[in-house]
Amino acid sequence: MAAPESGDGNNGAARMVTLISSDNTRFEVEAAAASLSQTLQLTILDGGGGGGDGIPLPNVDSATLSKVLEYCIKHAPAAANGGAPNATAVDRAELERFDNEFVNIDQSVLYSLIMAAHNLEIEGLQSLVAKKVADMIKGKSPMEIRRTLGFPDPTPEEQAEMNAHMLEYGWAYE
Amino acid sequence: MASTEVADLPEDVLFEVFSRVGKMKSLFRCAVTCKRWLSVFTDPEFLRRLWPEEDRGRLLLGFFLDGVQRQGSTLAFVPAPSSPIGYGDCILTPFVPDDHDLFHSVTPLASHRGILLLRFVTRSLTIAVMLLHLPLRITCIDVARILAELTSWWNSALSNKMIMAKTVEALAFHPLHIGHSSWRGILLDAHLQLSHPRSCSSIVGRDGNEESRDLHIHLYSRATSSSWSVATADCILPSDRARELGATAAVVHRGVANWLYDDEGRYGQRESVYMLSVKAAGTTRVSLTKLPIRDDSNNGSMFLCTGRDGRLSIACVHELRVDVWTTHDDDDGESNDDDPLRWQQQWHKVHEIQIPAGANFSSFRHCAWKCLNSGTLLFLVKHGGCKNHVFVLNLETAAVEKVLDLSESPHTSKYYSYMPTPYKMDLPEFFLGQLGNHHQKRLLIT
Repeated sequence: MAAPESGDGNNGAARMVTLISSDNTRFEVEAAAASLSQTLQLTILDGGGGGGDGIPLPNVDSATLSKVLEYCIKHAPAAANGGAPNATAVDRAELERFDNEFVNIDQSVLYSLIMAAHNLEIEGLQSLVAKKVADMIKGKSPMEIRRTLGFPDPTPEEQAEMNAHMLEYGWAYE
Repeated sequence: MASTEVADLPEDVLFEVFSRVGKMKSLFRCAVTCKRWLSVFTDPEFLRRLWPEEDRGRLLLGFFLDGVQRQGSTLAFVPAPSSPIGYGDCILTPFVPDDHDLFHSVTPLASHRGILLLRFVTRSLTIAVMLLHLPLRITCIDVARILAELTSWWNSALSNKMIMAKTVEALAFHPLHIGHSSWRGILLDAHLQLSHPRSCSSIVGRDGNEESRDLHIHLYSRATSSSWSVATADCILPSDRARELGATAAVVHRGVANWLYDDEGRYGQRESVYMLSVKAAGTTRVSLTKLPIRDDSNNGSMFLCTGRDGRLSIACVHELRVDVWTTHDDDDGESNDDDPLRWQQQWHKVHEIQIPAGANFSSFRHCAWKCLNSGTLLFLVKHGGCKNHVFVLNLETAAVEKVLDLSESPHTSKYYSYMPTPYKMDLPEFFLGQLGNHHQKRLLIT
């Protein structure tokens, strides 16, 4: 609670915290942005992450973390307004445009992102990526899903079984 | 990044993804995408999370229509607009092998939680009724085996041919008159299990002589997988003018089967409305209670319904409006659950539902009505054959919604005028039944 307020107060110096990725890269961000993560918020409220300490995130690599923070920085102002009840239509449209663009990425990055969002408990990011993956699944056959999501090629046996399912449940494939 | 890991996302993350896929067809396909996903789609807990109880009660998948075609299959399935299997017409391929020319007709009668009751009329005009656990696409069923199952059930539960015929009709929810006595019944608590996909656990039926006040209640409870125990209880109707109201099938509410009766005065006017309640589980209890419900028009059809919130409602269908009464049910004091009387004490009128503006019908009474439950009634507006429409009336919200337009179906003959059989399904049970099997057969597992 305190962190977003101090960030919003804009008295010259918003409170900053340092996050350390699994490959030891340090990221300095506003506490308000990092607090979009329920996990980090507790640590930050306890005064952690400031100064030279930094909060280690052993499950998130630097590429993923920078992507996560890009999302948090963009969404922090709206979140600080309590879900943006008084945001203008323009602001909302801009966020929506950002979100669409943001998930327009390779499936392997999507995977890392949704895992990071899950571990860091960033609800908005998790739903955004889950929705993207769900859209990629919708209307596809098991084989197409495997291709879209980059699963390895099925064994001949797996392939035969998928075909059998398609034959037995034709209605599901219409 | 190792892409295989996408398949190995934690269950919570998979839930976030799958709960946004929406269409049941899509989910059914992606269930067999890989071993990991098949394991979550055969996990009852995960499935129940995906389709919470309150949504499941309303999953109207579509309707069975019979007699729509005279060649090949006479059974058609038409999905409802909101059906999770998607909208569009599909006709069933003949799913009862009739190599020996056994059947004269096959008619859908009722369905309850994924069990479809069909009536077969054979060439020799004997009637058989079948319980069928229904996947969406019906594959050929082993008629011989099912008939053998039914025969052994009849033989073990019942001793003479007369009762056997009545019991068949009891299953079919339809009255059958033999002499002066009539029998009506309902599947009280049908549930599907993987090992016994066509089992039901208890059946309640009534057997009475129309000229007398005596009513006999018969209860059949599943004792073992192949035998049934039979119990009988008696009830005396308030007068010999007492008549059953509304649907012939009982409405089951917390293990109690309920029927409505009215009692006519000397001049044919409706004097009182009664509810007959039969508690089947544990000790059998029968009660007949006068309800504090008035029917101003004297002759409205009455239907009993259970709401989504677990309350009983009564809809009284008049010419231009439907009145809805409901009980108070404060859901605490479970100790009182044994008492069927508890539901009958306080009734109040909650809605007077008028014909919606712009509706293409002008009388509620000329429609055919049927209880769909979850607080809803179905009614068929008869404009003649293929112009018929089916609507759902929601007794809780008073909303009227069109769910079937037979004019859109290329398979409907213009002579079609029956109320189609609504088909609701419990999706977790469906996934378990279909994919659990796959899982067991080790299909797809490498």
